[in-house]
Amino acid sequence: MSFRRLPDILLRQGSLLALVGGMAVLVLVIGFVIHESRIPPGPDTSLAGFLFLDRWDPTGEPPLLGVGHAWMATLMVVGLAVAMATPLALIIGIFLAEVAPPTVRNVAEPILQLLAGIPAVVYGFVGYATLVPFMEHWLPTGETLFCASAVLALMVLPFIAATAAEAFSLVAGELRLGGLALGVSRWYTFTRITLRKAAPGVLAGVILGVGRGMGETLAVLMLAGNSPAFPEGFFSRGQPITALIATDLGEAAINSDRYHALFSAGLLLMCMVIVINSFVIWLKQHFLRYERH
Amino acid sequence: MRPLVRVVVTLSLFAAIGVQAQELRIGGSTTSLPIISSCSADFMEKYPTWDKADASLAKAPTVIYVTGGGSGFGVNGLINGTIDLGMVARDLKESEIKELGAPVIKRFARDAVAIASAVKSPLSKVKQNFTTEELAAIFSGKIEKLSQIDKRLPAKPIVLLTRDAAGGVTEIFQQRVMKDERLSASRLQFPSTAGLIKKIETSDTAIAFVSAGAVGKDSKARVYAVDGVQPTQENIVAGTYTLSRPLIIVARANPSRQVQLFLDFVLGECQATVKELGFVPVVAVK
Repeated sequence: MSFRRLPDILLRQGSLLALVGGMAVLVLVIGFVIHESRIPPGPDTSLAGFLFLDRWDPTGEPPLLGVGHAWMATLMVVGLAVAMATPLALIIGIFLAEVAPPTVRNVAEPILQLLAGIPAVVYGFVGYATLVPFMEHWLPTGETLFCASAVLALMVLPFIAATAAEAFSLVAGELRLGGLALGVSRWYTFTRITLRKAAPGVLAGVILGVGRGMGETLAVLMLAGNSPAFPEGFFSRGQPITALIATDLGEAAINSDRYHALFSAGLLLMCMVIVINSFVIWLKQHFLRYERH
Repeated sequence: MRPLVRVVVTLSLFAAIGVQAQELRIGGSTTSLPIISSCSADFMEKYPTWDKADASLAKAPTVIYVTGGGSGFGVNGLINGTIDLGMVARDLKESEIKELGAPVIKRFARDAVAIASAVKSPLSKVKQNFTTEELAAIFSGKIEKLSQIDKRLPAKPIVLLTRDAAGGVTEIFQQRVMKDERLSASRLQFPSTAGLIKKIETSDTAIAFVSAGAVGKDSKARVYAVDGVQPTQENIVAGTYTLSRPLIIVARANPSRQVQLFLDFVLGECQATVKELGFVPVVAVK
């Protein structure tokens, strides 16, 4: 009797254990980052200096540990990348869900997923070898925040497009057919019925894109110039938070002010992702409320 | 009572190391780390057992451990007996020499910074030499356009290239050239010297400071004299080219035969490795 129920028990306990284990690792990682963070990072740095005013110059005398340039660069790069990728991704999603014949769809969807799987360094290198020299026809250096954004847009595009296409195709066929049966145009059906129904899914895709873009390190490090300067515009150089941490952590002695500053920058990045995602989730709920009858 | 215990413990530590003298422990400067670890790998390959290096030694396997830890550890580890050889990326202080009591000090390489641009850069035609003051003004961003260096040059913005803070060259440049000035924030930081060289070879407006050994003779990049002195191997070793620092390896007084053999190897065969890794060897290498 109890023997026959063994697989059941194993499965239940096992999945619970996996869940608790996964959660524990997550909590420990976040806990460690919080534990190693000091805001401000040292006695010689003020809170305003760390977040906004100071330069990043840990080897100068006295050392300056400001990350204002970095979070600004992160916001600019990811903001522009998602702004460029989202409309394109929507068009791809519409095409795949509404226009494309099944054969095209069967080829295009796996290709999109394949694109999402290409390693960041490959994107970074291709951008470095093509886009950077191209931009140098007009600019003193091709490495700019714009360059990083353009390549990052390509990287987040498949995430948003694939999620959007799926969201569109999940909208019930009878709703769409109902719209068409009422004699309205395909465009009207799409904007008034399909797009509204699919909006939460599309926003989920945007969240994925933002998360991926915020955490992206190597491509932006190669393409943004890795200059610890406060960005003056999209065509100037900069150093997103991830690039700052990757560049400096190797040289930061454990428990030095510089080390704590880098962990604090990591914590700041985490908070930024959480705030932006919460905002998008809030938007999504707003849409959902609209949908309820 | 307490100090006595400490002395006994330290003495027994020394004794323990004396017994297992078949192993060499090396630690210190991370700048020297790639050179010395590559050298010790070659040494162990050439002499798998100590008697192969010197017939008077026992037939015990050659084991050399190399770790980083920084120049400070290179000295302190030697003083407290944790390591047999310390790597230090500067000259020893008087107090350190006193504490070590007549240590054996060998300069095995120099780490030097050279100012570089592309051969095709317009700068290359009008400039052969920079003064330290000029360099501080350029790299702090006070001079922004090529035309401010020389009137014959176009009024294009200067692009500054540097290694990231991990490169030892940044430290030398900050101390010898920048002094109290800060490096311009708009400089491009490269994670590797090879990447930097690639970039400078193709740029008309870029100026960089790089490891002196990194710019080869056939390179499309060239180096400049600083305060009238060319960064040649002779000038760097003689110390007339000031943007450099010695890489030294230190042993306690009366080193063991094994330590002596390794030091000879570093100053002999290993000099080719020094050059290969972009540093300046102390003896001429073919």
